[in-house]
Amino acid sequence: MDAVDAAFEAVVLGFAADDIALARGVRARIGPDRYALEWNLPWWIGRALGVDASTCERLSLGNVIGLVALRLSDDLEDGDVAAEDVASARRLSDGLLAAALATYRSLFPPSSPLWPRLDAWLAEWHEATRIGASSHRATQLTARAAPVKASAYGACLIHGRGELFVTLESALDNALQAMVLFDHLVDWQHDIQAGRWNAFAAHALGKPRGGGDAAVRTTGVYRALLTGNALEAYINEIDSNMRRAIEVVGDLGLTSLEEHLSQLDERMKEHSQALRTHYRDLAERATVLLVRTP
Amino acid sequence: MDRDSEFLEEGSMGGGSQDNGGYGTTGARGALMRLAVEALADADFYERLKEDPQRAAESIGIQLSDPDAAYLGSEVHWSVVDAHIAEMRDALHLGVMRAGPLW
Repeated sequence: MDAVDAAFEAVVLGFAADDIALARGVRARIGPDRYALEWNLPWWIGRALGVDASTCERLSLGNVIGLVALRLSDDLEDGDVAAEDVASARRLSDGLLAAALATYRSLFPPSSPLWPRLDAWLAEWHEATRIGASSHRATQLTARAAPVKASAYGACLIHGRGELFVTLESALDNALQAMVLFDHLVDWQHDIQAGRWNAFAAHALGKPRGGGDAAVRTTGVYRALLTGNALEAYINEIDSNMRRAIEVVGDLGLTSLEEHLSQLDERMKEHSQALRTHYRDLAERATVLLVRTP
Repeated sequence: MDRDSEFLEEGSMGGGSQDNGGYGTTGARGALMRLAVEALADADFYERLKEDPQRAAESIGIQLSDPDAAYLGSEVHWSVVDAHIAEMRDALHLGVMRAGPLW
């Protein structure tokens, strides 16, 4: 990680030394604790296939630089960049995206099948970012994480196992889908307040397209949480996606990735159970309150 | 006071019948739980329930029996319920934060 961090700093200093503080700020938000896939995927896949450490490190660097570029772009799109920083952020984002592609260019020839796929994933990300808040399908939201798949495909290609990626990609899609759905379960209140589409709120309210008064929607989601009906089906969807991902990754012998997804699955299950218990307890206490007033 | 009505005749809280994976939302017990959940989730509904239980219940598709309507209308100590339900309503948003960030 330190080597990737040092290389990231060198890349930024090479073309945008004046913007190093801005770059460091975004980098601090995308640490390996929160973005484990972006930092580790090339290692987990590459080392399992026998790809050398130096190549894995370059693939990881490409991911991290690319992630900072895309996060900056997201921030610009969401209006989260201070007015005086907008020009710098745009310049930095464009430069970092070019640097990420240059990292891959040093590993893959122009004829590599990686390039059309990478173009397609970037186009998916761009489209998903453009429709942003109005998106009404979780599958579209997973497209915002699509570029992370480039390093996985790259690791397969470098080892001459490009065919492996067809199966691996379906597992990554399942894992990303589960993670996005879970994020929406955690963030539904913020999303409703911000007027953003939220997968869990849409599910709980039975309104796939969302919309409507924020207070009414919030009350509706609480009602669904308290009765438990919406929560179970939604958690099952997360769970089934994650189980499919873990099973496929295990079958492919990608042990470290399997361990990571299993740990994630465990933490999501604990969180889901805490939610179930919290709202069930509240519903039961409220009922008792009406039945037995002291 | 203990409510002496069909609400309490269907077993302990959370037990009994299940509906689409919920916590027991059918029958008389389920009806009361629906009223309680609605009162907890929707402060306006709670105020309507205090004023006119039968009418409030009907607004969410529940027909109260006469004894149950009488119980809610005259026996429940709403001043006691007020304090508790406000505290519980404050706790509604805590479930999301309980387990902390995952990544």
